[in-house]
Order: sequence, then structure tokens, then C-alpha cells
Amino acid sequence: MKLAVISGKGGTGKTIAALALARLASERGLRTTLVDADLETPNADLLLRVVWRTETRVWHPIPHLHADRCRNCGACSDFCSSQALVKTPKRLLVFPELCRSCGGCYRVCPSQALLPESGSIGTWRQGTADCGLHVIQGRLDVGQTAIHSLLKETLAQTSSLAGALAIIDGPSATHAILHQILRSADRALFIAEPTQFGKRDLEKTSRAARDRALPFSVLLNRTGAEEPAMEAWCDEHEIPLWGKIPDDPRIIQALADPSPFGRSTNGARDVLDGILTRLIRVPGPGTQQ
Amino acid sequence: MKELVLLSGKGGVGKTMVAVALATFLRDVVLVDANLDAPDLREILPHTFIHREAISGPRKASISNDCTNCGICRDACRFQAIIEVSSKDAWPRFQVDQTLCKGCRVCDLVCPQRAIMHIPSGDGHVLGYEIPCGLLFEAAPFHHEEQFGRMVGFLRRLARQAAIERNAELIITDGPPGIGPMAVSSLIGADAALLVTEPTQAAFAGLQRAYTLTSRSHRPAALVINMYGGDEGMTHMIENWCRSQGILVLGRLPFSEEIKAAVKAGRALQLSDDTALARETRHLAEGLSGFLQVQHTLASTPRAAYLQNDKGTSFLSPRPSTAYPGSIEP
Repeated sequence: MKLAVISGKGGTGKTIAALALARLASERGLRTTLVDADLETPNADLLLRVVWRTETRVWHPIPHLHADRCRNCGACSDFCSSQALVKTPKRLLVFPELCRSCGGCYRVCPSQALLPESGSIGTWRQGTADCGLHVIQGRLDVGQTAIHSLLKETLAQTSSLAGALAIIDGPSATHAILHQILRSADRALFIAEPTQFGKRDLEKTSRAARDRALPFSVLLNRTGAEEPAMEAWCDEHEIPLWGKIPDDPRIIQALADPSPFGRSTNGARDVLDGILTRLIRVPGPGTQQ
Repeated sequence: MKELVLLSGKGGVGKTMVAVALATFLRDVVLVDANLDAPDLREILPHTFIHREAISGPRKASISNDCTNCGICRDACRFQAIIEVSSKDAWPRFQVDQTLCKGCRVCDLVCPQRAIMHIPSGDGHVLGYEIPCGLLFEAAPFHHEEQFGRMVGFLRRLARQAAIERNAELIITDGPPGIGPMAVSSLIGADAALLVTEPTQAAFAGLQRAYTLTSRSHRPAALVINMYGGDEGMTHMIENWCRSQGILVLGRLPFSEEIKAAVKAGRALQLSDDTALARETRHLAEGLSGFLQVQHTLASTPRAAYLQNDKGTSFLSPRPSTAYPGSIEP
């Protein structure tokens, strides 16, 4: 079962929720993988102590110009929809970081002056955190724009694992990147802030999940005593609200703390335990604070 | 006229709030909302709609009935945007996922039947508003993510035009979280970056990546620490790191219950004048004023020492300056 933890807005608490769920699952003895798919600014490893085992660089084909063969006809530059190839009066310019590797330029060049060479997009690495939690993390090279390629590689690592549960910590995304993540998941958990921005974000994202017929639930984060507007909205749109975590800055450190005698999480751990139980229908041990 | 871009790396540290807070202390400013995934600026500023301009949308692939179901397009598509439909009676058996399609036209190139057309998929729109301190530009909801970089460029060009017409001296571009194509597009041709962060480890890690992006684009950078709540250790570490990189440390904005309540209630943001937040924001605005003046003359040496310039014109409303000794780098 693959769960995507998502929101369009930044800073809602995706990473901490994903991490805490993954750790709780691991503590219950489930084979669990946490996938840090926030490739632009991956940070799952800041709160977990991970022993990294392998790191793999991901390449994609980018055009290399053989200037001696180029007639500067401009066919490639006309075709390129990424502005990675630009014809100037004197010569052809190549901007590899803009290339999305569609593969079209090689096909349209009449002089075989463009040949693919490998360009680095970023890396993914894997390791183990405490209680046997398997962690996979992708990291984009700064300045690179071909996020979808690295994301594809990073998410592909979950299909070869014989794990009971994969939890994907997604980036803040609302369009193609979000769809790419939803496509690889069996279920989505939306982390919502109880603000007007959070509500708008929830509206847009739930539509995307519904279009894909993907089961979708909400965790309301940083709540006050009551959040009638958000709860009413979920009710009205028949979206399961699986829990509420109060607004308390100590919760982050407490959830991340591996010690079983760790600090109080103000009920957050119980909420996440409940979510985990619903996810996998396996009763959990009695929780302790 | 100068353009300042707000970036952070990590999301949720308050770029939008800093942009709005600054705007309340500056006059004749043009704001650009470059966070196309979640454009929130308009919601928290009193605004009046004044302008709408269309930007042509991309053309996306569509498979016609001339298709013979050979599947070559599906194999050639590098974005996995061509899928085989499950229904046995469907013809053609292949369909293009409009969200994943990037409009690259490779499928059209390889199709032996010339059965693939590219159809305009809907224009985007840029919207302009009057706001108390000047103007705001944002994009109407636009679904073609591969065009976001282009849309940001369009927004900023429009903002520049408007700034010239209005004699506005400053454009503030509220950037997206992350360091991807939208962030890259926000920086092209901008004068400087204001890096916004908060005193947490995750935000610091994001800050470092954002700084790598701004320094690769050779944009000078200044820093403000937002939501400062008394964690001296983390705050000092971040500020020391910034100084070691040549990033001008402009100050700290305290965490504000006022802002939090306004955001939650969906109220337009009003900063009361006598709060610590208001004082620190004014101080930030003063520091920015100096920083931006100097960038104009020191553009080729982004790591040179920054000098307080008290001779240049200021963006500020005329009020007595409140200098905080020790907080601006000499």
C-alpha cells in the first residue's frame, strides 16, 4: 500500500506527518519505506537519523552539439518547446538545464549535429533509520528543471521493494507533479491548515484526486480548539477527516523523537496511530505518552 | 526601478506575509505573485480589479480517428502522457493525458499516420489589481505546469511595464517555495533576492539550497528571519552562516498572533503601528532601501561589503529613520 502525503501549499506539515506515520508503522513491525519525494528541498533526513547505504545519480539525455556538422538551419530551435536550443545569427546555443529530454531535436536535425549525452538531474539515495525504517530520498541538482524525470526514478524505487507500506512525502504541488505522485499511490492523505488558503488548497487537490478516482482523506494540522469551517466542508463534500492535530510547536520534535519515553505529543501520536490503523487495518499496541 | 524577488527554499516560512508587511511600509510598489501553485497575495490585501490580459496557452496533443493503434506514440512519449484506454471498444485505443502532456510534439513527429494534432488548450490570464501601496499582478488559475516558468516571466514583464507607467520604484516578486522552474524564472533579470527563512533546521536546509540558486544566477542576496520566537541558537547559526556567504542580514521579524489570526479569519492584513512586528518591518524596509541602492552600483561584485547609502532616494514614506545599531552590516 502506497500512501501519498500531499498539499499544494508549503509548510503545512507533510514531512512531519509522513515521517511520524512511517516511524509508527515501523515500530509496529511493518516493513515500511519512507520516500522523500520533495526533490527541490528534501528534509526528511533532518529529523531522522539515517544511515545511508547507496546513492545513485540520475541522468537524462540532453543534446550535445557537434558544431562541425551544424548548418545553423534552426530546425531544432524551432522544434524545441523548452527554449533549450536557441538559434542565433552566428551559431546554435544549447541550455541543457532547460532541456526536458523529449527527444525531438535529434529527430528533426537534418545534419546529425545533435547527439544525446548524459546530463545529471540529481540523485536518489537509500538507507535505514532507527527501528528498521527504510528511507529513500531524491534530491534535485540546483538549477535543474527536469523534476518529473528524477521524480519518476525516485518513485520507481517503491515498486521493487517487498514492503508492506510505502509513505511518500510529497512536495508542495498542485498540477503535473501532483498528478505524477497521485498516479503512483493507492491513497492520498492531504495535510490541511485551517485557514482560507488551506481550504482553497484542499478544494483544488481533492478535485485532482477525485478525477483519478484515488481514495482521499484529510488530516487537519495546527488546529485551534475547533475548526467548524473545515470540518463542515469535509462533511459536505464527503471527504473523510481522519484526524486533527493541535497547533503546538513542541509536537514536531516530540514526534521525531525516537525515544519511547519521549516527550508528550499532545495527542498527536494517538491521532497518527489511528490513521495508521485505518490504513492497514492492523490493530496497534496501546499507545503511551 | 528595482526588482526584488522573495525566495525561501522551504515552503510556509512566510514569504507572502513578508511581502505584504513590506508593502504596508513602502509606497509606489508593484507586487507580483509568482507562486502559481498557491497564489495567496490577493486574498490578504484590499484590492480592486483593473486589468486582464490573455497569454496564449500551450497546444496539447490529441489523437484523431486516423489512428491505427500502432502504439508508437506511446513508446516515444518521454512523459508517459499517452495511455492505452481500458475499454475494448474504444477507437483509438490511445489517449493523451492533458495534465501530463507537455506539448513537445514528438508524438506528432513519430506518428506514421499523421494522426496526432496539437490543439490550443486554453489561454492563461494575467490579472492586475489596485492595492493600497500600488499594484498587484497575479495569474488566473492555470493548469499547464510546464508553462509556469513562462507565465512568471510574463507577469514580471507586465509588472515592469506598469511600474514604468506609474513611476513606481520597486517591484516585489513573491516567489514560489522550492528552487524549481518557477523560482529560476523569478530570478532572471531581477536585481536582488530577499531570502526569507525561519529559525528551524528544515528552513535552514532550504535556505542553503535557495542561496545556491541565487548565487548561480549572480543575484545579490539579503536575508530576513521570519517568525522569530526567541530561539537564539538557531537564529545565530543562520545569521553567521549568511555572513560567511556574503548575504546581508537585514533583521528578524517576530512571530505575530495578529497575522496568524488575520490569515485564519480571511481578513485583510492590517499592521498596527506600535507593535514589535511593525517596528521590525520598518527597519527591514529601511535596510532593503539601502541594499537595493547599492546593488545598482555593485552589480558585478555580489559579495562586496554593503554600505548604507543615505544620499540616495528612499522608497519609504517620509518618516524619521529608526536605526538599530549593530544589525546592518557595515
